[in-house]
Amino acid sequence: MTVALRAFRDELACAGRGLARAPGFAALAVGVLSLGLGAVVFMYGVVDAMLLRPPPYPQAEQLYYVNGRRPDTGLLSDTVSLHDYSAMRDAGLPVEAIGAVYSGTVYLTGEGPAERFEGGFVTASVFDVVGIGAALGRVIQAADERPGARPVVVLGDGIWRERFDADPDVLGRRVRVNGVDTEIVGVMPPGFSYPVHQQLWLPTRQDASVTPEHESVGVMVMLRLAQGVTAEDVQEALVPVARRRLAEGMPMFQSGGLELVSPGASWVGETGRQLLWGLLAAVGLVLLIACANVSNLLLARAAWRIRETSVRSALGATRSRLVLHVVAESALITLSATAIGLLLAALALDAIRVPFSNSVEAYPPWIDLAIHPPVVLAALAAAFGATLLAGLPAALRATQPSLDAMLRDGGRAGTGRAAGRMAWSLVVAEVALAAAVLGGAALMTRTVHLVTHVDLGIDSGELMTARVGIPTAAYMQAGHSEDADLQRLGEFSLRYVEQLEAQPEIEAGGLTQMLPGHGFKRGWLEAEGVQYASPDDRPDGGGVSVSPSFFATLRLQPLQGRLFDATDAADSERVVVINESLARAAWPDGMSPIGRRLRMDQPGEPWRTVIGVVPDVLANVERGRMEPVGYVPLSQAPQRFVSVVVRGEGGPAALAAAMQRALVETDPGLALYWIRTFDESLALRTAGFRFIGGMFAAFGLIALVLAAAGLYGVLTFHVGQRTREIGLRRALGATDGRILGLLSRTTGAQVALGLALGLAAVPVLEAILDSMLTWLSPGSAWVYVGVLAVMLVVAVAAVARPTWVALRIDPAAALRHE
Amino acid sequence: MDETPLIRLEGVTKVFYADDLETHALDRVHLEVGEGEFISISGPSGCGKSTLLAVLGLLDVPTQGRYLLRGKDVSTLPPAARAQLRNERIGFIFQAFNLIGDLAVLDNVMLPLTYRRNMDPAARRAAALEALDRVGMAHRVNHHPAQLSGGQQQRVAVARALAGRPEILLADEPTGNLDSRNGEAVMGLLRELHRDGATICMVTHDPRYADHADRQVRLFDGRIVDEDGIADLAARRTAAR
Ligand SMILES: Nc1ncnc2c1ncn2[C@@H]1O[C@H](COP(=O)(O)OP(=O)(O)OP(=O)(O)O)[C@@H](O)[C@H]1O
Ligand SMILES: [Mg+2]
Repeated sequence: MTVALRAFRDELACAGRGLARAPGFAALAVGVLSLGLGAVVFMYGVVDAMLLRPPPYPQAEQLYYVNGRRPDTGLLSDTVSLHDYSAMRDAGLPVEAIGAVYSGTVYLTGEGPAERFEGGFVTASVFDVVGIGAALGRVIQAADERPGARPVVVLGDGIWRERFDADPDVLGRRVRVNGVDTEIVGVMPPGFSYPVHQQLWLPTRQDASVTPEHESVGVMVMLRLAQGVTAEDVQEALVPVARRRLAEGMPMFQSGGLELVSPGASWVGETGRQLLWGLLAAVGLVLLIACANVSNLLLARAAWRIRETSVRSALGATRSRLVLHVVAESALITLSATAIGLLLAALALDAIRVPFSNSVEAYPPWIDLAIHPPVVLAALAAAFGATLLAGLPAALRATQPSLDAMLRDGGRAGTGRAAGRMAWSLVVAEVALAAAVLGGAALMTRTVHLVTHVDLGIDSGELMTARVGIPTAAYMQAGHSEDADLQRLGEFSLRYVEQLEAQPEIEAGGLTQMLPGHGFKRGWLEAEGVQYASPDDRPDGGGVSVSPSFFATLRLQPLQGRLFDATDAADSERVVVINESLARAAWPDGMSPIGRRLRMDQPGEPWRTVIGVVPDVLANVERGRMEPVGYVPLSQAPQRFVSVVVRGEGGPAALAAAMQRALVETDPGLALYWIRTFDESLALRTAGFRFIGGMFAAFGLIALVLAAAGLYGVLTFHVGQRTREIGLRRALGATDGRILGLLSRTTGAQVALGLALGLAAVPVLEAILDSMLTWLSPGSAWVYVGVLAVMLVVAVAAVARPTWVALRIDPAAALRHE
Repeated sequence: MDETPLIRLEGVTKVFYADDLETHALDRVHLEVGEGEFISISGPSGCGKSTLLAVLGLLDVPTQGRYLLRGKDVSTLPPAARAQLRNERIGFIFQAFNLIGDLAVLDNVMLPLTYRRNMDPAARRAAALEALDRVGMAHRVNHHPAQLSGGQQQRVAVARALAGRPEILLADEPTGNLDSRNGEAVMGLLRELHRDGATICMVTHDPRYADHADRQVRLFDGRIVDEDGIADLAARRTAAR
């Protein structure tokens, strides 16, 4: 063992004994730091699991998605058009393989009832990209993609076991997939669910050479880097491709830029990534508060022990040895705190794992919210940083032993002036950081509260919902929108609604492209006869296709005009029912909109005559406010995917069964999915918010606790150190008021200054959050008042005990206290 | 015979600057202490006794002048080298005992030895126990300072000063915080150490204890005004006139 190591071991042992003799101090310091470290480890664990850990494919670090940035909105999307994909495929990028995939509803029929699965529609090259082959039979091959090829399907392990009893002779069997006779050619190994949670795979049937770009599905493009090629190289090679696409592509559908993104990051999305890193930064602040706290405790302890330090110095301890002693103490504290912090973080990750995966629609099964080795490494790095940060001021203090403290009796109260200023400022910094974090947390939780408690405009309590998708093959011969196909889709909707209303449990039932609150297709609107100075002046809103019975189901009555009825058929006059917001936005003159015409800026959209106005219903819960919406009849704008919404008797299970029964009577080849009450379904939409809001709230709370601990700790030591002085003042006749004044002068100024600085940072934080999140609600004055009030209450609570102790110091202490 | 004194101060001046005020705590002090000598340093409060001891103990550096330890100039050594010299060659006894409250008696005595580079734990322990035995405190090794009387604490402090077998023992009012009985006991201990050959510099107010020394050094206003045994008082007075 080297001399230095032995010295460190000696100092560790010594520091250990010292801490054991000061259990209150040790518990406070370790407790504070384990909260801070625990929060950082927890958040880093989330970031690691979601963004950094590669999915379970061979050499997954070579895998990247290509995301597209929309030139108009600047938003990054994980899907691009088929045309973007074929441009990339043909550009000769330095990749080993590149493939495209989109997910879709797949109905399996044949034996037993129709069942709905998550299907992956893939190019054959996808399997080269991920590098995983079939467990049985083969994967999709290039020949399967050609027009007119024999339809084939590759099953996932789960379906194979559950629906086919793990039959090894399943290859060659024929099933009906979305109404098409299809041959099973392979079974994938267990755990394979590419790209996210898909259960079976079919060849893509969309081809960029025949599909117009505006009808292209959004595909996710994944590539595997060629040997010796970096992501930067590929990124570079994508620049000319993106430029060419921008020149030839269709506005609104093109990608302004093509960017490589790692698989986890692509799933989380750009806003999610920013939020996760933002949360990590917030939690970093929390750790800083904890460090400042411990730093201050150590400093107070060092000041208190200045005589001891000086004695050590007199006995021949070098400066480095004195510093080593502080570092050893600080290391002991951080190491214990790291152990506890890891434990706390593991418990917290464990606690959110199930609720979180349940609250997200498509959750990749490989995301494992747990503490993996890199997280432990990060924790140790954070602990090392914390050791230095927390120990530094005290260590600096230790290099200045005081002869006076040692040679002259009673010198122990000699907190150096510089150290005193440092301790004082550390508390100010703590209070400021805590106020800022709390302010950020208040903004976020307020937004989340607004979003989750927003007035929908309808009574959603008894509504039951589900989703149904109509497979292309069964209803659309041409594979894309032709009049005859649309006709068939429209007829399906009519028949299904009839069947729904024929069920005894169902009082009213309707179909809608999107449920209220669940978002809609957004775009510009144009009112006939209104002159817009620039296209950007047009109101922005959305359109939703609904069945006539939709309004009755939601108990919406027309405010003006009429609602849809059977006369609004595919071939009759194009009509639209608008909400109040749209009426106001399109015709600000306040005249009745009935009979006027309106057009949505989407390819193929005709001018529609307004026949009625209905009250506002929240269209997109993420926006948190009413927006202009135009409802068009499903008969005139049929949709392949619609939500069913019903109101009736017997509770959710009975209603679900009735909805399903009605569907089977309409078409036995279809099945309902996402069967939920309306409120459950809406809660899923806001799960991300609640998750993030909950995090901010938790971190804000921790920051608050830490600030309280900081005030408490410092004042406690302050009082302990000044016991003799306070006793003396008492002996000389000081009243309670004088003693209180003495203490509150220090603390009061610290809290006031800290709060002022912290609150001043809140608008800055708000601006940062606002630039990241479209849905942030502007903070109200209440945020500031609230933070102020909470911080003051906490400050008073924190200083109550030490103040009480100080008030009870009796004059004799002046003589007794060693 | 070796003519070099153990300690030699040449024109040592120590100035403190605090709040625009210049205090000459030591003013051109010349002092020689021979091997095995026992000197006492006395003088009114604030005359610079503790400062002189701090300089002698390498705790503080002179503002001017030289400090030769066995003929070697130590006034300009870097802090780490001074720390090492303190550790190996100097033992301190303070008025306020200055034991470390967190450490047991044995650990307190071993403390200076843990700062030695090449001393294994067993040797440290043995040396500490021997020193404790010498001051009659071997039966209290596991006690903490707070559990000892003032006199006992000071004996432990003496043991701590002795444990490293220093060449010089420096004591700043070692009896100042003790009653006369305990004070006598500690003085007896110092006398005994002196008899065994230790070099001791002791600051004391108490003329009774000053008499134990071979030689008395009197300080006034940072200057040595009287050194009996050298008897140049008259000469100085003449010079002052
Ligand atoms: N750190 C310092 N800063 C400023 N002045 C100091 C400092 N230390 C000592 N002094 C001054 O130097 C002078 C000598 O102080 P010193 O402590 O050596 O006196 P002393 O003889 O030990 O007194 P006492 O008998 O009261 O212990 C005093 O005037 C003192 O105020
Ligand atoms: Mg003194």
